[in-house]
Amino acid sequence: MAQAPNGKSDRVNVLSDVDAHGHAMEIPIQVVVSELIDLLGAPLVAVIGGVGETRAVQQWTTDRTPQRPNVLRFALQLATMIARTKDRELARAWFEGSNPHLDDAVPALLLRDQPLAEVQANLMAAARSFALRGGPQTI
Amino acid sequence: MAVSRDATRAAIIRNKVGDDQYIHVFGEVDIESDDEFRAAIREAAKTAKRVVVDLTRCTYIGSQGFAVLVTARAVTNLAVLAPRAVKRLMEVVGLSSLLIDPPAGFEAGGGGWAEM
Repeated sequence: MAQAPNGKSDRVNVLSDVDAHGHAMEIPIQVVVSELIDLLGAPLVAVIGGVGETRAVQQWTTDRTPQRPNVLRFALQLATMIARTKDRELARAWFEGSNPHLDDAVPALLLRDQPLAEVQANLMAAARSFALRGGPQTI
Repeated sequence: MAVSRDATRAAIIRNKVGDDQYIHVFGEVDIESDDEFRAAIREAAKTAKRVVVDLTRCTYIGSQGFAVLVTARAVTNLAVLAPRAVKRLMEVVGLSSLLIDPPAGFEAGGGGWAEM
């Protein structure tokens, strides 16, 4: 079986993508938000969710419904995909950083500002590419 | 990919931690976002003993952003968390007295650390 750059088989990585999607779509939105907070931190979840305060994010874990739940589910799918092959800090950095696969846009800001349907495929491709990359290279 | 970068430059998030109000800045503080930056500090100062501006995830801060800090420090108990490159700039423009070290348990951008 072909090996991905991180040394894992392609089959393992494909299953991880599928698992990440299934997980993010099946769980209640309150759990989605809680897991995103754990992976990315409340301020970054606030960015993705399009609010200006982390207090709103906390309320999403209990009684209030976020305005764009599909964006949060998709963000969890991406974060889970990346965190399965990298560590949490790298997943966070991916969401916050300017990305050459996205015309140097910042994934978290794309999720906040653009219609999901317009950016979903490109974000998925960029996240998959990042998740499949090997570890740090010695230059 | 056809995405206008002008629409996706910065996000400014308020986050209450104890008596402090943190302002986490993601992206760029420039002429397009300095009004939002100023408004976030002003709003945070209404209820907090101290406003802590977290620039650790800020990718760019221009003269407009520094001007906001200069103005705000006159009327607000202000502190700034900054990466090394921004610290150097703050020293050059005379704002080094605002710099603080990250508190224990702090993760850049407020990741996983917020008390809400």
